[in-house]
Amino acid sequence: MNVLIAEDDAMMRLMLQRAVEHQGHACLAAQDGLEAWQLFQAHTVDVVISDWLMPLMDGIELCRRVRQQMDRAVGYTYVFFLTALDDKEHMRTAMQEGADDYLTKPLDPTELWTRLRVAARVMSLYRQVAAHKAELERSNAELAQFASVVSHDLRSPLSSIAGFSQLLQEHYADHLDAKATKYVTGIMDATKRMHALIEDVLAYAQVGAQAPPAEPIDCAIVVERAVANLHAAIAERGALVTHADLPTVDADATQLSRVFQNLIGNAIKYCRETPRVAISAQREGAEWLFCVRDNGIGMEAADAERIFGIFQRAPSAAEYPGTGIGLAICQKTIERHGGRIWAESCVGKGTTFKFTLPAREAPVRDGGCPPPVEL
Amino acid sequence: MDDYLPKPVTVQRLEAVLTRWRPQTGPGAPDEAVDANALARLRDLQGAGRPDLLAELIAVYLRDTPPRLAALHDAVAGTDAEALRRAAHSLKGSSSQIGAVQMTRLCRDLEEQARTTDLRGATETLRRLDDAFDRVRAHLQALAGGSES
Repeated sequence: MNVLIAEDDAMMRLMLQRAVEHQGHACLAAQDGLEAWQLFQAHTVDVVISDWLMPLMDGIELCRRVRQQMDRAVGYTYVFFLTALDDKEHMRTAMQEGADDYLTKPLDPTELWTRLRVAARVMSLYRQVAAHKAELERSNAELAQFASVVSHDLRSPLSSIAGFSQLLQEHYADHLDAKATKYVTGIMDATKRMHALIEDVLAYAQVGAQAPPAEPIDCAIVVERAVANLHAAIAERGALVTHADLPTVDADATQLSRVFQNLIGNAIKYCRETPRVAISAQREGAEWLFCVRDNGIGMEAADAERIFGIFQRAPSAAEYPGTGIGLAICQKTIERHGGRIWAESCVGKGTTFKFTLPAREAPVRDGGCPPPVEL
Repeated sequence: MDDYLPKPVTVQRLEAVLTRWRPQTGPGAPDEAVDANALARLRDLQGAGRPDLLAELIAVYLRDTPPRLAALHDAVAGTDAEALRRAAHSLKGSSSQIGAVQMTRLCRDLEEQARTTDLRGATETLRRLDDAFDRVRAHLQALAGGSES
């Protein structure tokens, strides 16, 4: 490992340097926090061993900067404090500021070596996790890209099929007998279904590809936009869609609007009576719980869990058209926004879709814990 | 009054006061000045074929300590509690590492005295610290001289 030592006392610095080199690690040494920070920026550093009280920049400021750097750059750095400040209060402060370990003077070299072994283990685990994460992100991006390209490329031959079928129907209606007309209608219905499928696959891939920008949006406006998009279906079925007071959350307006549109659209579609859809939200701890309740056909409890999988549909929905992607898009969107989604249902008694989104006020962080490591 | 013991009494503080008033170890008993275990730990760091690390560490310590003692004197003379605390703190770190047990305790006392901003007792503590360093220096010089030969 590459170890950076920040220590203003010349004797301690020499001792630490030799103790670190003794274990076969490469070593950089600085005589104050500022010099250490400059060395840190210029080199790859796995471990920092820092004194607390130093001229120009103290160890706490050095530790803060190393942690901020970590947020921007790729790697993790393991930070030790080595100080004669041997009380619990200083130890607590150091750990809160992001230190990984705390050693006190006089230092027993054997103790340092033991702790360095722990640091090496943590760094090795970190590298494994980081490599796996990079690999996963790469393959996810590849898949999303693949789905997106395939959907795009499928669109144009499909448009040709739809276009030519329409021409056939319009210009050659006189030449076609009843059977041929039925076949052409069948082709056109199939192209419509396929078009819906492609659009949904594309939407699903897009939710995965883009991280939602955190902008404050009023859910009431989002719901009204969804209702406007569903205008035709609502008018056709005479549906009644209502919403209570809705909060402002940090989310991507387009994606969240699609979630409401899918849920409201489903409520209207899977219904034998006049559809009634009620949307509400209530605060539960650090998040908002949203409910979309309908008077539709409902489903078995087991199906309520299954339907969020891509291409999964409840048997009760079989007689209605659908691609089986809408709820998968909802789930992916909500999870990417830091929430959960599920359905509570009973056959013949309607369904309530519930999902959560983080509330805008930052949750109170427990002072005793270091901030979570961002990989 | 020769000394004081602030409440709450801890074993550490009581020990510090008692150590101060224990019959002083003279040059005749230099083993008391530096903890042999601390020196043994530093010897563990010696790499094969490298320069004598212990001699190097001792040389650096003996070079850096007199200016720090001077800084402590300046701080007391100028009643600069913050400078006194900082100088005592850094001398405490290196002294504890080299095994200068008594100096470490006296530095800790100075840190305490600087924290209360009552520097009256500091002059006496500092005098003891000078004496303790004389004994440590004699011991370490003998040691480094012996290992060089």
